[in-house]
Amino acid sequence: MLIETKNLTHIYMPGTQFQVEALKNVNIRIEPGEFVGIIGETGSGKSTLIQHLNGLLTPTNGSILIDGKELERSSANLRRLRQRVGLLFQFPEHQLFEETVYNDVAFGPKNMGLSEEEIAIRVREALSLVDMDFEQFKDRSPFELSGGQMRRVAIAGVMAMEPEVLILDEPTAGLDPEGRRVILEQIKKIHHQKKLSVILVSHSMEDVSRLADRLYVIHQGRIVLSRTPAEVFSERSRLEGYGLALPPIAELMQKLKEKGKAVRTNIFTITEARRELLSLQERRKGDV
Amino acid sequence: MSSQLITVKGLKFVYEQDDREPVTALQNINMEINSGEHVAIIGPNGSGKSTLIKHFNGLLVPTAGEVIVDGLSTKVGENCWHIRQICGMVFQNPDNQIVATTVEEDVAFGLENLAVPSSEIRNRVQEALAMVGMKGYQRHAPHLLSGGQKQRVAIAGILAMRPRCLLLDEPTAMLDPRGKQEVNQIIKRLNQEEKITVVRVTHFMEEAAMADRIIVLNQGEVALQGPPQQVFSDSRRLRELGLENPPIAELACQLREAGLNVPTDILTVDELVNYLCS
Amino acid sequence: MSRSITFGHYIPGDSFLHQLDPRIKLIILILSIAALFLVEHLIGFIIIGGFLFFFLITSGTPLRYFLRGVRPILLIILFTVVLHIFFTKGGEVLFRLGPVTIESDGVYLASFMAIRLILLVLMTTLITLTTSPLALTDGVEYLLRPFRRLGVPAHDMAMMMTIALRFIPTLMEESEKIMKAQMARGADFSSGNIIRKAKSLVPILVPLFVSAFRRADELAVAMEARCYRGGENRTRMRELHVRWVDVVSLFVVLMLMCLLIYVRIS
Repeated sequence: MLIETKNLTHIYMPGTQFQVEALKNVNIRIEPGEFVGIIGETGSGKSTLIQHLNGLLTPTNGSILIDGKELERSSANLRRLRQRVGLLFQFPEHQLFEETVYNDVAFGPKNMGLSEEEIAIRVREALSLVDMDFEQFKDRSPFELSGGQMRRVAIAGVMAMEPEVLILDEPTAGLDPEGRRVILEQIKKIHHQKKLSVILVSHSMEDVSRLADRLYVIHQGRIVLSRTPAEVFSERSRLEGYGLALPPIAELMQKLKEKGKAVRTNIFTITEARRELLSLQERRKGDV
Repeated sequence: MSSQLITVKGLKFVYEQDDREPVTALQNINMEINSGEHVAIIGPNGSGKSTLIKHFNGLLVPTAGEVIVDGLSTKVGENCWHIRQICGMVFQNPDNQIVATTVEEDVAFGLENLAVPSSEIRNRVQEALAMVGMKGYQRHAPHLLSGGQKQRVAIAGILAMRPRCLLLDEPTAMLDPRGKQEVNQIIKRLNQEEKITVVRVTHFMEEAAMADRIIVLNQGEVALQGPPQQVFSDSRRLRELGLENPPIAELACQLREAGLNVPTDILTVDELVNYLCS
Repeated sequence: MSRSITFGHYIPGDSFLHQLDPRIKLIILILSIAALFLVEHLIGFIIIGGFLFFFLITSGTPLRYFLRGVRPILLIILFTVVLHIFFTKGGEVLFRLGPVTIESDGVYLASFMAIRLILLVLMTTLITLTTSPLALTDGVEYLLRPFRRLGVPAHDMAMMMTIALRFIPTLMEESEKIMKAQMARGADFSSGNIIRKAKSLVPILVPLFVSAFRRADELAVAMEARCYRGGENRTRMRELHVRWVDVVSLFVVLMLMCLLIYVRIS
């Protein structure tokens, strides 16, 4: 599924003294199967943007294109779109409401009007996608689970609708390092196995850089950069102006390069950095 | 850095739940926290960090052993008001600790509880808001502030009570990078310039690195303790405890293991850049 | 965006009414409401209405805010008017259609009730528009204090009001968020009959309650950590002081009351 926005502008409460222009002429294009990151600080318009992609918000100006065709805003169309574009909000564990994990994950498929057998199959598969044992968890109350587990149930709830695009808003917010690692790995796995497009929204460049093929940087409602993570990170001072900080490893490589060291700057992981720095040291010895 | 503010002796804490087996959350805890110190408590989820810090102002009382704050035991009920004035606490969720409908009213809340006279309250509220850089926001409604600003208001509410110690229970966990930075700068300044003792629970290693001393908890016991450079120099032990070194410290560790002569006290990007370029 | 919704629709300003002590304002409101129901002559309404109009103009708040205040109860007013016109009998018959008659007493009473209700709403709106929720809470607490001996928990009630005012915007924002999250999972809040609609609220209400309880729990601990121990031995940052203007205002209103009572008796 291909999603595009054409000159998308959104104004909250137009015509009042509270009027806020949250998005200005935004043009983005998400190819099928792509993994795209959207980064920007709080209030930059990230959340407003993604809520347009599944029809929760209506553009004030401009349009949303699905597979090249402009989105018609009939209620049947919107419901279909929301099934095809799964959106997981920040702190999704706060939306769980059913008595059992099974019922909560089944909420989406039920709303789609699927048969009980089909629902059962989907719940089972969705839970296994987030590494939760079906038999062990299906009858548990979601409110008895740990924070990280609740979040995984919420992801399963969206995945059970078998969307073609998965949008995640700050999926690691408030988790400890272990919980973050687990969630990011699962997102990676879901992208890989289900071959869907993923849009990861975050103000943490660290999470995004590990996973995304391409980044959009959004600042004050405008898309200001759109490139690969490595290219985006090479604009260190510009990013700081947008209120974004580089992940430490990327910052290290950038600063070494600025000091005249011959290092690659498209490096985000400790392992790669170690290899690069060791080979730098080797080369230096070789020169001597 | 000599006088002891908080002393913990043989602390054990058991959570009693109505219809379930009691859970031992903390045991064999002995430690001292000195006046003016900046201590970070880290550990994986469920290691007892929050439970421990709640003992430092008498919100929880030991099942066995003792916690002594400023010479007073938290076990004695009437001590707790003095202890809570000395050791103010800021919590994780900024929304759920702001009581009043305007910033100044909220900062005044603790002072009103301490029965401070009205004119004195006004002065102290002004002073506290200035300390956290929120002067001019007196009449603002809390729900219209950013997360970082709310957390600063919460800190001001504690500072107005003129505490000697700030107890911080993951104060930045729910903030964006900008909010984190704002709050961290204030914590650092309060500790260094105002000489306020800081005890902070965190799961961000970069924040723990700001402390004078790190205490690592694991399954309710102190597993490791020392200055950040020492704690972060043993990445294998940390990993065993379910923790990760901050990325730069980890990289420095790995370079050292590979035979490079990287000093053990490197924690920040600039320190490593300086070393590699020297 | 629910963020901009202000409660009680308070509009800051520094008019005479804005500066009046909230306790005095509340007492005046209560007296005025009593007066409204004492009045039986048009002249009484003209006096009260005149005063009200004077304050409406001097309060410096746009008139449309007052009209907005009346709008929600228009239906109630209409209902009372219709009821009185058709069912109150007496006086001359003004109109007859088969068994239905409209008689002069009915029309008279209907217009009386309508004027009463409109004035009542305008008065209350005027007070909430010119008094911050905070001052209103303080006023309620102070006014209830004398009743503490009778077991009225004045401080606790005021504290509850404060916390409610503080958390209503937060919870509204949260319910909006939860609603959107469920819509993203295919929930439909608009179609179906009333039972279906009520059922579709469950996915919003359950998480909202869970979160409200969690917030309440955390807030209680945070308050305890800040040495809160109820209303005893507590001071206030903002103390209410009755000034001369307040005393004079109250006096004027009392005089007005006497006048109205006199008119009624004579």
